[in-house]
Amino acid sequence: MIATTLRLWLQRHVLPPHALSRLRTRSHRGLALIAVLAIIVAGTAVATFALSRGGHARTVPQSSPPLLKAAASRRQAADWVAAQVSRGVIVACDPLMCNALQQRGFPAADLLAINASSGDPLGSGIVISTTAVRSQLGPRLATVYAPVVIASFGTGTYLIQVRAAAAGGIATYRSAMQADLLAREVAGRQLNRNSGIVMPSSARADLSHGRVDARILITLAALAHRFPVQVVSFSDSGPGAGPGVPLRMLTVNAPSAGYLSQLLAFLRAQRPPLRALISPHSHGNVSTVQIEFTAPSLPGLLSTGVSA
Amino acid sequence: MRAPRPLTRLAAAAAVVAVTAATITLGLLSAAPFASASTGVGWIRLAHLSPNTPAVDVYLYSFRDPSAKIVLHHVSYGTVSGFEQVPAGDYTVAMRAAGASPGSKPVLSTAVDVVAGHAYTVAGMGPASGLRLQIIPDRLSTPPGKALVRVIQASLNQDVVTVKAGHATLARHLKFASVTGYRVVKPGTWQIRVVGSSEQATVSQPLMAGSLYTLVVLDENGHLAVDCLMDAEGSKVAPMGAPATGLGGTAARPGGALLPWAAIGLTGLLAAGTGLVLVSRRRRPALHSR
Repeated sequence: MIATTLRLWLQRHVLPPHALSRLRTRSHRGLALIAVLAIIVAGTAVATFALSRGGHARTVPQSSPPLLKAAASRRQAADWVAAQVSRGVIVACDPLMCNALQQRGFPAADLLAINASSGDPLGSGIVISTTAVRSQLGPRLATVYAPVVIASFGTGTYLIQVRAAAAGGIATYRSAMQADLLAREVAGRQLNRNSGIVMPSSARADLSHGRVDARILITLAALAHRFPVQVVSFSDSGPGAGPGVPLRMLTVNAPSAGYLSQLLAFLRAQRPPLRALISPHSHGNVSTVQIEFTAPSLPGLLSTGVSA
Repeated sequence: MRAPRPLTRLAAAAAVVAVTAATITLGLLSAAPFASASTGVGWIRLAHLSPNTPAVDVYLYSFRDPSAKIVLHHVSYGTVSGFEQVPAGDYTVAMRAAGASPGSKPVLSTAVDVVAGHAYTVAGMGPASGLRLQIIPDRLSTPPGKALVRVIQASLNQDVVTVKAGHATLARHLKFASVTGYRVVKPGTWQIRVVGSSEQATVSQPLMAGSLYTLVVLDENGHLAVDCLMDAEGSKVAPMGAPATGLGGTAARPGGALLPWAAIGLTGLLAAGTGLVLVSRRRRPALHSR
């Protein structure tokens, strides 16, 4: 039936009269059918290609430079939060970011979605500031809910900031942070006098200025009782972190295999919040160990002494 | 020739007074830092208030001195060790099951900043599955003529309790593993009543003026009980060493604190003696010359 329809269409629109007479022969009819099929296949291919182009055309905004930048910032922020933020800390985020975190294994129970129907991020420990969250919370985001930036990704409209929430209100939080800074300075100066710890002057300055996370100080004091400690550096307050955010990573030398084994065993025996992420590295004959504590830093570990 | 005598005597006496005054001043100056956080001492003890938790040893690692490790040896549930005198400063607090193999690693728990002249209780709190060490500052003095009382809730069976002394409420709906602040009470013998959700316990407890007490609510043989521990006697400034009572902290001011004063006294006596010798030597020629 299709062949008949095509033949009639060709007779009327395409083929000249002399050709038409040729088609009446059987062989010519077969050739014509092949040609027609080829045209149909080619047409289908062209149509499919056009449609697929059309499909892309409809989603052009997703691949446009601005949205690519936004997606890149979101991906970086989600990677960082999933790797660095303590489990058990409630993270407030817009639905897109919450979804990205869940895809990276962040527990859904620890996520608090901020949208038009939700109120505020009270009760959370971290607020991820995206354009959507900023438009939802306005200036109160920085002045009331989450004053301190502990990491940031992207710039301008595509800026995503990871902020520490002010538990107990902004005044209480600032007061606790100030007290913690003083306690870290005092404790850091004591560690500077500890003969069991060797470190460069830059690390000593970090200690005496209270720039080092309290969990590192607590761990260092205990480590120095077990074996001599060679500090390489204190680092990583988070990319783009605000001033005053403590350094959460300690890098130490491990001069021998036995030392390394003892050090790792000691660190792995610890429990949260004093359990660190541990990364041993080898550079030729020299081994170093990166000891990093999760974000955010916990004020009050030194000043009040209340444990987790 | 007579004129110089009173002048010499006066000069010698002035010298004695000056040396003595300077000695006392220096002594006072040296005594002040002794009491400061940088060089003084504080006191610390261990309380086991976690039911169903095996005994633990608690370790204090000094931030300043890698060789200064203090061990608070294990006590059983519901009891408190005596105070240990420790140099002021920051310490990492760690714990390890009592009798654990020497190779086992202590678990870091918290930190404590021991301030000179202050006392602290390291309390093992919470259920066995979530044992935590909590630093509880202890007070060492009371308002004149009063007693101070606080409550630690360590009963797991009755996880919320109300504690009364007579008709006065010391703690209302106090949750497991929490601590109240000190409350001022009149000295005398009080009926302490603890009421849980399904049990209550009562003890008659004398509370003396100038003394500080901790009422520990705990499970004793599966039943609600209350134990009254004396933190310190107010007339005595600081605790020292092992307790005379269940809790300790009743001893006199630590001997260490007397050292600078003894030094002052001795130096002052030496100075005075030197002055007297000086004066008497000045007098003798004067008498011969008569």
